[in-house]
Amino acid sequence: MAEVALLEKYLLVGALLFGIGLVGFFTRRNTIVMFLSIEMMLQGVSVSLVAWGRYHNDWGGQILVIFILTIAACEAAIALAVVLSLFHKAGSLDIALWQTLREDNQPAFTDPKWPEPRDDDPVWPKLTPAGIEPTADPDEIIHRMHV
Amino acid sequence: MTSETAYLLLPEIILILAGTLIYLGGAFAPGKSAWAALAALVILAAGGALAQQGTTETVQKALVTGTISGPLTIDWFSAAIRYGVLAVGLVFALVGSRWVGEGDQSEFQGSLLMILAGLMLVALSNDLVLVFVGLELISIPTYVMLYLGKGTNLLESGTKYFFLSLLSSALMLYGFSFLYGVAGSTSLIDIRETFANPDADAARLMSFARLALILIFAGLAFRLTAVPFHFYAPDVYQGTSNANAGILAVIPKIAALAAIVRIIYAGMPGLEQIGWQLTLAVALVTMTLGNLLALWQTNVRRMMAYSSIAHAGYMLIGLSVGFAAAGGAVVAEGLDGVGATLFYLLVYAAATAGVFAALTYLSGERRIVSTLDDLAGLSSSHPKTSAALALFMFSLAGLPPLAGFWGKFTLFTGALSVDARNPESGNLWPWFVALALVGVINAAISGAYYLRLIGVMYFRSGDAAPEGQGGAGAALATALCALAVIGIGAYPGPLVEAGKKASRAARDVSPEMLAGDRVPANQTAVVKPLPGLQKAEF
Repeated sequence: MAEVALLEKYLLVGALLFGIGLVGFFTRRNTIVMFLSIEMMLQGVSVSLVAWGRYHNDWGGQILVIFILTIAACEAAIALAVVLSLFHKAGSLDIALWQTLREDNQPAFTDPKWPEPRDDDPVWPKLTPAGIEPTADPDEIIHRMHV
Repeated sequence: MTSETAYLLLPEIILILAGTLIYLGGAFAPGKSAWAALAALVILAAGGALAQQGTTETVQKALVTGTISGPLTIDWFSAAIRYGVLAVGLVFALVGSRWVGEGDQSEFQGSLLMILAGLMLVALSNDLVLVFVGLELISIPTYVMLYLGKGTNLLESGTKYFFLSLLSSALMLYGFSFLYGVAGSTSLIDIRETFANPDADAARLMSFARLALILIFAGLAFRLTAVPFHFYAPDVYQGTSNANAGILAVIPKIAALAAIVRIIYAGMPGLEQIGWQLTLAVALVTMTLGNLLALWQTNVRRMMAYSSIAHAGYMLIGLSVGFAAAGGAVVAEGLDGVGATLFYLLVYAAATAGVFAALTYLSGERRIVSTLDDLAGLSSSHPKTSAALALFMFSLAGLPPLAGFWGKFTLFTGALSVDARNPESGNLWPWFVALALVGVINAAISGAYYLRLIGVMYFRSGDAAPEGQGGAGAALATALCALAVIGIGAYPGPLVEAGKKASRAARDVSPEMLAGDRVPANQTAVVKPLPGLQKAEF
């Protein structure tokens, strides 16, 4: 029965990865993050395939996983080209910039919560130095440069 | 892989090798129409190799009983799809012979050959791995193809297709993982045996099988453009070129239907009830939504996208009838739901490929024909092309002497005959009568927008006639499609019979198939146990 309990745990991890990826794909607007979400879904699939393969004591699941990984690599190559050309054209990775193709009578999606551009440079907080500054040993500095 | 398997894969090997060579050659000689001629010749050569195989004794026996060779299934279903795919591919190679883009000709033709090889692999496959690889061999060259050429919206439409296609692949693979989990094998014939005679272990896991069916159907519904996975189609078709839109409207649908027949219809016996309920509900919504939204469109490609969504709904009618019949419902003698769907697929492919071939032919360097206004007054400037377009529109609307009528006729009579003569157990009858009624009403609605396009061509005068610089290839492709539409309309009988034969071959299991060179499902001892992990405590 240890095997069934283990299968359940691995399937749960696979389902979580798949679900998080699915939610990420639908909620994120950065093209790279969207692609990574899909990769996460594929990893969820792979985890459950390997778990099922172990449960049935069969190699088929792992073979399918190897094919999934190979093809995901091909897709990553295309995704890189797609993201680059989108960025060259729009200057941003936001997918919401691409909505010229839609029904004629539908208004374009505009983000109600788009942050206002700020004129002044934000002032970042700084840590105040504390304690005594240690004296540097010249031999140690030379030694560190050669490590 | 035995040498026999390699021999059976010869047409696909020819296509992939030639595609690679065309990709490579395109780097040195980005020529124009020469690559299209080469691709057309390669497709004919692959067809010749296929026909040559058909004369050998092994394949002839396989066409009668069906046989398994490693990961391949050789039967009537795969043979019918392979010949059909090569015919469609020849049309698109001709369509793309000009105006693909500056120097992109070789990439287009190379991608097309790869797509055809992937499609043939899906139809042949007897293994989940091969189905997945085949589907991706269709998708990945399609992504490349969508970015070729010049156009203001190419990037946007290509990106939409790319991301949503990846999502659908992930959904389908998750379904595969549960299917594999229930059956314990990636071989489709072993999966079918497990579902037909489940042991205690498989019976306990059967609730996962329903999840697998729904996930696989969802992933494939994207390729079929069935609601609710249809929403990408209008945007993508509108933004891309006419030739690409034609390829997207035809080829993924063939792949999705072949995969549904192989995996769900034939591979998962015992789940017919959920199968017919799911396809019936999706068919109702898909055809209604597609037809209603097409009424408002002014862009021809967008209108054809909604039309292709509606036709996906009609195809699902036949699948639903097929599932119901497999689940024990009584269907009239001589009617076969899945066979009707396969016949309808051919009819739809001929008319739709013809429309996009004609639009490609009418386009020119200055203007790509896109809106209905571009077609105004076409009957006086291009009488032959407008006659062909009118023919395709009549066929898509389903008017009697043409191919589209016979397609809809076989689908609707199939739906009406479910449990019609079986009053005691005729509990499915009302559902399928309602399905056929909605189908007929939809066919009437679709007439409105198809006839509107014909009206624009014949009864309105336009400012500037389209240039008509698509080249001889596109004109030839249009003529071939028009001939097919008329020819199938005149002699539908042999092709309807071929569709029935193919669907029966996909469903039936003969002893020869079970005796093929595969590891029998009950002989797990042949597979070596995973070393070190056997019966270990975790």
